[in-house]
Amino acid sequence: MLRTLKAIFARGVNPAFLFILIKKELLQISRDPSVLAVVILQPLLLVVLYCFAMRMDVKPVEIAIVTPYQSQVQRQVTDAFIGSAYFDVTVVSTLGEGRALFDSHKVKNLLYFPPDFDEALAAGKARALLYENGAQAQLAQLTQSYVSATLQGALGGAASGSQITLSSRTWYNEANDSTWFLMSGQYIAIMTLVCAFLGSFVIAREWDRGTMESLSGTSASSLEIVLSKVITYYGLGLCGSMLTVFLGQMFSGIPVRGAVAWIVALVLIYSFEMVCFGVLISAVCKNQFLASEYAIIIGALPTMLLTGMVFDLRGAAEGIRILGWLLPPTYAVEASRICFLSGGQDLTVLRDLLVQALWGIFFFICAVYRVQKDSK
Amino acid sequence: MTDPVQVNGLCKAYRAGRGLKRVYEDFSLRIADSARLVCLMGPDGAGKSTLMKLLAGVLRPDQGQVRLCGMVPDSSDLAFTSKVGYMSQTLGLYGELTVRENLEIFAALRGMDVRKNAADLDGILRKVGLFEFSNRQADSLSGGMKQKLGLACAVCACPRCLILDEPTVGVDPVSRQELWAITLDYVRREGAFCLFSSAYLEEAAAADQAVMLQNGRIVLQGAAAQLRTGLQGRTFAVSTGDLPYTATVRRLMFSSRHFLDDSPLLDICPRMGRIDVLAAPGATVQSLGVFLKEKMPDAAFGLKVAPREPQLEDVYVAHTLDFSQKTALPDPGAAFERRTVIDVRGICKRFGSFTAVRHSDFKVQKGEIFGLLGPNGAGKTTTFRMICALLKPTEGQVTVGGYDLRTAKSDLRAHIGYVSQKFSLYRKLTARQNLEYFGRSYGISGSKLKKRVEELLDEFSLRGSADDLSESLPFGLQRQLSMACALIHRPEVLFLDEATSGADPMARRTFWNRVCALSSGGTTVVVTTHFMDEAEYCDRFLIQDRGRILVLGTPDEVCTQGGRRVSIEDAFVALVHQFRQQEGRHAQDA
Repeated sequence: MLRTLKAIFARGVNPAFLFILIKKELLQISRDPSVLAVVILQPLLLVVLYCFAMRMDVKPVEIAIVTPYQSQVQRQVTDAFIGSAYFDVTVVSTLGEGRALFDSHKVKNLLYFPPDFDEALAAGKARALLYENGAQAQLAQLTQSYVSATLQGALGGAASGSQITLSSRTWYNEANDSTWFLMSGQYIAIMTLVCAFLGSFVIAREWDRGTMESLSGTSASSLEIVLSKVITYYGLGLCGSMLTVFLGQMFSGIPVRGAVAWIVALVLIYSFEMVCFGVLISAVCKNQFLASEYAIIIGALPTMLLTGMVFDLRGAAEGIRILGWLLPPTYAVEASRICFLSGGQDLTVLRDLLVQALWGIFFFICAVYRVQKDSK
Repeated sequence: MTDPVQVNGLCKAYRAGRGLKRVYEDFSLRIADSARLVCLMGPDGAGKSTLMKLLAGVLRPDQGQVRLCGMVPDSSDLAFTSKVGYMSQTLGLYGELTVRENLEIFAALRGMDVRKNAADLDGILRKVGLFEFSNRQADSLSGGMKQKLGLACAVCACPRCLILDEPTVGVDPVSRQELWAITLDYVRREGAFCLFSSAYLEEAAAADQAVMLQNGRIVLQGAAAQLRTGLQGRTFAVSTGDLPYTATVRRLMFSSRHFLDDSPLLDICPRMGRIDVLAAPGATVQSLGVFLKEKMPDAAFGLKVAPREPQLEDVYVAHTLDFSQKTALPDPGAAFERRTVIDVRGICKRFGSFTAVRHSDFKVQKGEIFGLLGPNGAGKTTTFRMICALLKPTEGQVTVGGYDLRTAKSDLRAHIGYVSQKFSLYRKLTARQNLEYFGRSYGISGSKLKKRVEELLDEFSLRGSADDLSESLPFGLQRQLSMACALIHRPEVLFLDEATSGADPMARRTFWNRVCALSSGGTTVVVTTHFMDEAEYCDRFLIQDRGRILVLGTPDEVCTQGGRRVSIEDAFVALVHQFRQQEGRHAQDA
């Protein structure tokens, strides 16, 4: 294998051949522009879907607040809840009423201030009781975090000037908006889908139509054939990737904390890697239908499930976690999160980008080898 | 000068499923420099395409040496590819690109400077008659034109060696003559070497040398004239005199060894109004006369047997004769009334502003073999699809077996069988499963289906591969299987759409033996074909061009010109030529 590869690369690239092959690809695209749907419509559709449909914050949460003693502090807390966009508040004065609402599922949550709440607060040991519906565990968890954030915000204000200032802030995602968290990872998923999908057609199509045979009877080397495809479809894939990020930023308003240069580098390198990945699949499958199927199954699906994009890898079983860190998109997701949400960590980002670039080159070389083996 | 083709100890195997399919084992071939035009012939799976790919450098040998004009085939070597033009069977054209763009790509990839040599490329396009179509997309070209473009792409960089894999397959006689002329002209003018494969034996006969391959071995090699001498004394012609031609052909066929075990008639072929016979060694005019008298006492006085010169086709057939597939003789007492089964009245088909078929009228009788002939794009496929209920006529009416296709399409389906050029088999089902599936879809089931499937497996020599996936079957067996599937419900009408396309002469003999037996048993058969000589088997046929029926009649009626019987191909070419000239004149007048 190494000797074959050495021979192919030693021969170099004939610019005239590369030029005519790229021209051929461009002509084909211009005659059959359906491929542009993948580049334009797919990112558009997915970004809209992810921004507006796939979110984990459930707002507003229905909550009943039991305030038996209308003290200054309790009113202040209640107002904070009423004022928050996260809650739909019903105020009742007895626990009995509150329980009745809760038990009849009219409200999903119940917040109760015990009789000694004000005194305890003064002593710095205040406790409030939150009833939650555990049937929807994730919602309960979220509610808990919303409630504690709101409580601390309200009480921090009330306690200001006196003893301690309670301060709580959800770092990197101040709005506590899951779209931010999800979207910064979803950029990677959408880019994977667009670029790998694009790449998966190109060589299989030559086999399907029998043009690979006539092409291999010419002087065009497998390096030139693969390169012409990678260059053309990398161009297209890049358009799709940039569109993805552009639209995503427009709709979700994720902050950009890192250097824009890093983000640009990430898009450039990751798109390259995924186009090469698609081309490799295409060269192996030699059948358009199969290739596009595999591009989704082994390209896009693991990117969504195993990279910590949605489900944090730290929560995964040991084996899965290792598998996740073996997949190149995991690094891209990490880099993307850093670039958008936190900034800094230049070394980590650099490592992540390097991993992508190396995989991309590896895929490219494998594709060249595969085409050489099958057609020359 | 070095020998143009030198192959020594070649081994080549393909991976097929889990096993290996060995195409060549220790194969050697040498073609001397005196031969400039060499034809490869042989049945499906003989290894013709593999050999050509190996010589073109598209495949690498597993073992052994291959040399083309003294060079080691290596398609990554510019020095090699610039001297070799290869045209694959699939053509490998880019359908969405124009004629000119295709030519430029393949010229440039063979090291030609397209811009500097633009005039040369124009010249090539003019020569193959595609210059006016330079800006047409390759997809929109007719079959013959695509083939010409493929040829143009192979010769564009002025190669010294041409390797053409079935350059004339599936093309009408007019285009075929043109393709042949272009190739010949190139070889003569450039002094190039050309190796081509073909199922047309007259093309093989016109080559300097013919090489016949079978199962990865050379069966025959030599100039046609020299090969023919081996059969001297075994070939005869039977003239039918006043006897009805097609009926006599069939009676003779049914007395040949395909049907009768010890018949001296090994092969029967209707050709130019006579019946050509290949006899067993030792047969004489007298012994054949005696045999015929014995078999056909009522007709023998009208038949005249005479010796004739052997043709290359006889040589080919003699080497591939296979009597393992016995076709069941039709019941001699099978009497059926002559009635109209297919009635086509004034059908037209328009696609947008384009009229594919204009006002066709014809009737087909029960038990008749009816042929549809015409150049590529003449509208015969459209006509064909309209009469087997796959396409709705714009105007007119078709009745098949008493069913009006406008109202009773689905009732008709149970009474017709259809074999298309692209065998419509389920690739991932075995041969047996395909048969069972088609049987059930026609409403046969249980023990009846089982019995019928077993019957067909034997009849079509599919027993040995009954449990192989149909996609893994060799091409010839796929053809057999798709025919068996079409016959599973014993249809009254059989539609065969270019079912012999790409088949070698022997496979076509087997095919026609079966078709004739079926028709004698009362099955009505409608066929389209690219092999003009096959129309000799038809009771009647029509020739169509540009949507119009030019002629309709029996082979003798159509092919007698000035009292002389000509071949169907000659009659066809003359008719089409004449019609197109007339049309041209009309167009000028208008």
